[in-house]
Amino acid sequence: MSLVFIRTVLLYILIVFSLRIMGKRQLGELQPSDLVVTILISNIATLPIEDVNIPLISGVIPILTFVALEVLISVISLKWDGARKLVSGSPKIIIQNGVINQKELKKLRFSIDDLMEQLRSKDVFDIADVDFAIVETTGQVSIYKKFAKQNVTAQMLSVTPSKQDLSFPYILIKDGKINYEGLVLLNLEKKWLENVLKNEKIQVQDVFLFTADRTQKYSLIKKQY
Amino acid sequence: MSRLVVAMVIIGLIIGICVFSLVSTYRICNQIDAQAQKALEFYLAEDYQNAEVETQKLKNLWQEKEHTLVLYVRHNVVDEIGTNVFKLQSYLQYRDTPQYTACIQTIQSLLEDLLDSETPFYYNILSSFIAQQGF
Repeated sequence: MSLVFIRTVLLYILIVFSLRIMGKRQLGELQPSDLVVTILISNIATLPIEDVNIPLISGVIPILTFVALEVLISVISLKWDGARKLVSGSPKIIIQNGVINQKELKKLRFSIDDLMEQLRSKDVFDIADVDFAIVETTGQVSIYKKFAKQNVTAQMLSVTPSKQDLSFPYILIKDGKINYEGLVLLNLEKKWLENVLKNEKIQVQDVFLFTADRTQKYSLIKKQY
Repeated sequence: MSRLVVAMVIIGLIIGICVFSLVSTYRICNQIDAQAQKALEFYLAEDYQNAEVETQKLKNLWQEKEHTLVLYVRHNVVDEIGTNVFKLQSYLQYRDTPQYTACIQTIQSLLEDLLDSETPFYYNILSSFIAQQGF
């Protein structure tokens, strides 16, 4: 039993390390090759855990091989379009100028139910609202609505944004620790932060979450435990 | 770029480990095989004293090399070879010639199969794949 436990811990560390090496694209929406590798890694990892007769290295080597191949293929795809098309395919337009490309739908084996489901997930309930729809290589559908149906933007209303509107909030303290990177990003001084905490009568270590933006508008949540 | 370097290092390490494990397995299997053959030759020549010495050497060699072998190959194969090695002493003690010779030949056969299955020939790659698919 202890063998199983130790192997599980070692393989867990290896898999986390592997996912870190493969990068954020693995954790986001998966390309076909990413999906294959993720499924394979999870299956392979269970073999030496379940069967202690299998040497641990029989699990480690395939996982590391997949990681290395995945990184190599992604680098090659980055430099060479042909490789990217071969491995991931290319996005396909299924609605163009409001007209459904039925031939393309058939090629993709995308049924009308699949299409409507994807549209509804993007809050589009009437296909007549769609100007362009593209099936991405991950299988997701990206939608560009007709002008009359698009959400209103500040530009459309000719609204001039205020300083507040241009400032995004960033975490400055989380779980009692100051995030100095956030201070630099927002161009704020540590002294200002200390003054705010002094006014709020709270110490840094008692702060659960503190966010602020460039205009020094802040939000503070105290620790409960 | 740093990830690419890490990937290349990983590939290099894997190739190194594969070559090292293959060379180690070959070396160990050949040593065990040679020692088993030596013991058998003495036994068949009815030189039981030397056969006993060589059998004991075989046992000691196996106990020493087994721990290295289990790092690279399936444990059930290693266990089977070990079981046969440990039986030899008893067969020798009671001069059980058929069992003794059969045991040695089993050990040699298992070692040969082990080497064969570890070497990356095309039939190994294909046949293992086919076997796993249940054909």
